[in-house]
Amino acid sequence: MMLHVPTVYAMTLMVAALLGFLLISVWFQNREVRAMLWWGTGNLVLALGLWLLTMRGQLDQFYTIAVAFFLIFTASAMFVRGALDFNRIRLHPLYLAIGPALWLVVCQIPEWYGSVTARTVFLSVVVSVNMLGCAVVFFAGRAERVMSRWPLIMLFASIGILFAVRVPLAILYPLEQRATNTVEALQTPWYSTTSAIVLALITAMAFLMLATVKERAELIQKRAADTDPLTGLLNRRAFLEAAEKAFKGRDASLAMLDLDRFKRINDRFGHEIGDDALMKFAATVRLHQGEEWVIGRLGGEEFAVVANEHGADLHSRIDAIRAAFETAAATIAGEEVEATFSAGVAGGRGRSIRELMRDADKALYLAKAGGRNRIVAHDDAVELSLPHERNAARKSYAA
Amino acid sequence: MLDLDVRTLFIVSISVTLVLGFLLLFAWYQNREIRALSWWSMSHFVMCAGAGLLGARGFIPDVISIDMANVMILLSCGIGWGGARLFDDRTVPMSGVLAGAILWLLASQIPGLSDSVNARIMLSSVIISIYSIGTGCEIWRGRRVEPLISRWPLSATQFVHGAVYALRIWLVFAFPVSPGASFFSAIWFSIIALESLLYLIVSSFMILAMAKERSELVHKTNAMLDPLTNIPNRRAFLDAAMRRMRQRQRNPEPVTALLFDLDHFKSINDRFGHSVGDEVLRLFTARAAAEFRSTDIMGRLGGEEFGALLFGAGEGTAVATAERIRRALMVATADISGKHVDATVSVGIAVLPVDKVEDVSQLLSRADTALYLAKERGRNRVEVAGRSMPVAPVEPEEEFSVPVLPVPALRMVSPAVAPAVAEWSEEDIIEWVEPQQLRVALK
Repeated sequence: MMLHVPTVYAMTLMVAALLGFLLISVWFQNREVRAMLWWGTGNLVLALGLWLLTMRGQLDQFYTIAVAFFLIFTASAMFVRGALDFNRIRLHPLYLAIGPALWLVVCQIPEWYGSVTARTVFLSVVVSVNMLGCAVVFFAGRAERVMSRWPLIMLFASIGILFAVRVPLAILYPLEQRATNTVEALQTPWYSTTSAIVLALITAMAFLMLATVKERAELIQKRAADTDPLTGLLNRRAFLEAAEKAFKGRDASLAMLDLDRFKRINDRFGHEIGDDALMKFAATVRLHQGEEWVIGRLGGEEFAVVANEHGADLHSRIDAIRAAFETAAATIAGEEVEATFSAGVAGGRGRSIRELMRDADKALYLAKAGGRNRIVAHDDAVELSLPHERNAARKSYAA
Repeated sequence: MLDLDVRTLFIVSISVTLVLGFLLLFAWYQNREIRALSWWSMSHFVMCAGAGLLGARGFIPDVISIDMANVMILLSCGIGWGGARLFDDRTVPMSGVLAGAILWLLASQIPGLSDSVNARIMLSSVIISIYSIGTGCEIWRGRRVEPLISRWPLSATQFVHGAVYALRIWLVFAFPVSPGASFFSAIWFSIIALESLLYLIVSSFMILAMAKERSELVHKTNAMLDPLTNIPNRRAFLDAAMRRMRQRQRNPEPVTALLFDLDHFKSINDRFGHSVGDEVLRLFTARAAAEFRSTDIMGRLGGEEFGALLFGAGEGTAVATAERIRRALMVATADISGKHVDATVSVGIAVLPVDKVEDVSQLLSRADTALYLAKERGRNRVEVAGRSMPVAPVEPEEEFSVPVLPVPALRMVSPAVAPAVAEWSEEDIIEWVEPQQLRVALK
């Protein structure tokens, strides 16, 4: 059985208008995303164009053909404009005007303007190019890890291909042959089916646009929730999450790093220099970080690194950072700050991140007690003396 | 506009519903913790199947195209309602999900009903209307606990859809479907079918928006919480404090600010390790939170410093609360996995009487002055800003009868080494001083 083209048109225009309002209302909630406004308006313009198309016979041909097509081309250019906007790609607006402008040229050529098939071919080519353009633009912005981008790219590409396929179909099965008027001319299996598919795809497109925009908002919030604003490193919660995820079922080593006498740096040189020291520290660790490292600021002047290197390998890497930081932080903003850090390193088979943190912390304590600016590894074989036990030992010695 | 082809309308609607079902499935794949999305997606698929069977009337046996189809459509509504309950972590009674479908099956056994198209349409309209309004109510109920903007349009859409189906009951009376005529021939069928399509599109769109808003809210909340203690961080605390102070302009009430600073926290970290230090912070938060009311606000201002604003509380309440927290901390930290941590806290209080106006920073800075005084006067105590006399500590329990005055005592007794001490950092000094040691010395 064949689908009824005017019905499909009527449904498409209603759905497009509805989706246009929905997208604009989403834009209204968060006006920063201008792409939403472009896409929403694009849907409304498309609905208007389709409405004019369905008014054939009731309105002058100038409106039902010339204006209707012009609106449809404008709508697809608006989709491209939204895609460019969303992916922060700049393109001169004149490129977007090519489609509508070419249509104005076609309108001057009676043989083309008067032929249903020629018009269909022209419309299919322009829409196809625009939709493929949207796919390319979204592909170009793929560096941003928004997952909904991929189905949206696929969707734009399928709409583009669908319209491209209509070109040979229109040439193979010309619409004029069997028609006394345009509505009947369009009532062919391939035209009605592709129109119905377009309706489903337009619906999916609006959904994925919403998903993509909302996902970006989510990503921004997540980043704000996960990073420490001063150093840009992961905060405590995000660090634990990321470390546990990255080393699930694998053996990890963990280093706790703590800036030496940080309170004194703050007291003596002021908090600004203290902050500079923290930032310099974060930059130094980043510069020397291993491929699979997860780095976090646990709080105050305390940092942690989870790594896939073990034992002496990690020890030497951390020591390289220690040496680099000692040089880099000798003077900060003209002050002889001489900031250093101490580190405790722990590893071992099948140990959880939290267990490693405890071990590394004990080792860190020994590094501090041993004179600071050094790295101590936690060795499972040797039971380390606990701080208060050490103090007790000192006291009894003093007595 | 009404010369729509009903079959086209039907087929296209089913395809669009199918696409929407897949899109919701994809949304669920992205946010697995929102299980309601998978329910709503399932609801769409079941709806497609039911509507498909309904449309195949004449090609397949009536038992399938009428009974089975209606059962599936009603089941789809039930699943949608269940999804709405699941979205807000309410239990999903299976009886509720299946009720509509079962009711239909039972009713179809009644001879008068199974024979009449109009009676069938009326029954399914009633059930769909109830489910739709029920779904709207479930979405609406969660708005206070979790304020998501899309709850409003989504529940409104459900109510409108419910109203349209209620209207269909009237339509059946006004324009009954003539027996034996094609199901598609009724005048209002196209309108209802079109309404259903638009409803599905709007509600799916809003569901997606609502689910995404939830994830966004979760991250936003995370950004406001201190990860270690799970209470508001500095920025969130100050934001909330300012908001509440603005509200206070309309409903004047006394406010007290409490600033807490754990004593010698650096030394606790150094002596027992950071994990014990973190545990002390968590214990303090838990003990303090237990003393506050739900209208009070509390936050971690940084490091070992915490703040709280008590609304409607005067000096007496604030001092008593602070004292309870101070003592609770000592009890809680007397033994942390075998270690005598004995953490203490100093508290500064500033009172803002009901008839006075001050901004948050002024109030907190007065509390800070009181906190400084508490530190000066020996730590582990509560001071109120603007009072010349120190607050008399409430008589503590027997086990804490020895005052704990670690470092200042050392500073006072050793003026001779003052020049040398000045060169030391605080951490150097307190590394060697144990509260227990001082207690022994004082005895």
